[in-house]
Amino acid sequence: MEEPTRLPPEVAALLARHAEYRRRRARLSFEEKIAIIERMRELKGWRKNEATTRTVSSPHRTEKIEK
Amino acid sequence: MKETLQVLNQMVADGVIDGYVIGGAIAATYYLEPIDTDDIDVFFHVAVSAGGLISLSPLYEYLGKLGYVPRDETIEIAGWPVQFLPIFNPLLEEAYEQAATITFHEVPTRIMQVEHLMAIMVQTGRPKDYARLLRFLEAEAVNVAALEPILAQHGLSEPWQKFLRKFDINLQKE
Repeated sequence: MEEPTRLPPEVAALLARHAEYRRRRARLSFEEKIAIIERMRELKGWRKNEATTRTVSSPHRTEKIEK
Repeated sequence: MKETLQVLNQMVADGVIDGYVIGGAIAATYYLEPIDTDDIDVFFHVAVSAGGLISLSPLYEYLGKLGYVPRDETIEIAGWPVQFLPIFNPLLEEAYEQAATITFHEVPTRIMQVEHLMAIMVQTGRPKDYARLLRFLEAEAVNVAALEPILAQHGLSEPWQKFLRKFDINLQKE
């Protein structure tokens, strides 16, 4: 039987730390999680009432143009 | 998001929609770590006309009067783009019927049970659905014994097995 691929110890440790980080965040309250998502959206530059795209229409085509 | 949920609840109270359940990334976030998303997926139940058609006009008119504007495929309500998705198949119907009632800053709302969320991901089958399914399994956020009958009932056992094979997942071992 083929030997399973073994990750280098430092990579395995990094993945384990990341998994623990995700488990810790999963234990937050729903309110705390939504606050984090809202913060992520702010960091992406999302603003209220500000579309990230606009639609340009002509008789021949409709396309979205990134602002 | 509190105000957004209050508006959704008011839509139900005012009879604009019969009811709703939140799915997608926001519902998944309830069970997992926060998932980056730009909108709220709201599956809604509305009375169907005699001709069998679902009209979104009353919904748009109602929200328009409140000053909430359409933005691409969503309507922005109090800072959150909301995507309104009609309940159109038996799985979504079951997810709606069996949704969990939770509160967000003391505002009641309804979100899909984890098993239904996962079944819908199996049914939809996009790469991001597979990625989320893996997160649910990794987090041990689901009771597989409760999930599998739902998958079977909705003809999703084969796509589920295909997903497990694709990612070399053996649930017996885990």
